[in-house]
Amino acid sequence: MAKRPALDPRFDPRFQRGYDGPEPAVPEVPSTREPAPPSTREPGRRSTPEPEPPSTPGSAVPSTSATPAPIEPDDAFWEPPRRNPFAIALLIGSLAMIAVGLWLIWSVVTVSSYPDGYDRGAQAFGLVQQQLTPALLITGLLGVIGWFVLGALAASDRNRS
Amino acid sequence: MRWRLIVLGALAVLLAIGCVLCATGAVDLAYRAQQVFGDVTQTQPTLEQQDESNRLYQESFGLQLLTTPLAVGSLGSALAVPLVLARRWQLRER
Repeated sequence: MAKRPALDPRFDPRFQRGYDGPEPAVPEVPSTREPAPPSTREPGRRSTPEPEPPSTPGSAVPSTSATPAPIEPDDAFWEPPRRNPFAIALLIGSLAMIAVGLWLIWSVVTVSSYPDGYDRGAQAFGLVQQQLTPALLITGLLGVIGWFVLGALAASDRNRS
Repeated sequence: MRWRLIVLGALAVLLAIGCVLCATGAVDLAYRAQQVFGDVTQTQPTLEQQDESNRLYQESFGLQLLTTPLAVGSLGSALAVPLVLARRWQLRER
């Protein structure tokens, strides 16, 4: 026992000779191609274990197909990304504004007669057509742009982490 | 963070109110300006009446010009609220 080599502090003691702590949770054969985090990002790569095919010949399709395998239920750390309800609300609101603006433009283009100057309702609607249509279109387009920016920020956050 | 959202919401409501007031005022002024020429088939409006009508039309046009930026500000503030909330959601879910 006195011949046990001292652990090198520069490296992880679990992988050095003479380590007698708990068993490391790594495969028997060390592999440098498979870091720890991809188990949550690429569930399909780990879902092709060797011992499974002989026992279930009927369900061999997902393990050998080229398409990514479905998410394994035993992976407790992975869960599908939740949809952002506020981003959806932003997109729906923006598209609604654009739709209303386009409808106002259509109503201006297809009007058959010039609005009567003595009709307050017609005057008010004409004002809405003239003044609110650009506002609706501008804001709707900005909202759609903001939705895209939001998605780009989320993607950059994912890449950074 | 929360008080900024409240400010954004209040700004959207206030600008919307301002937009509606400007639109209502513009329509009212244009209607009054048009009334000057209401009985033009029977009596010609005097020069003073025409000047008054022009002044009303100009004021109406000024209010109309105010309507669009107020509407853009109101709608933009209203859309900024879900935008900020969506960004907060992203940062929280990361």
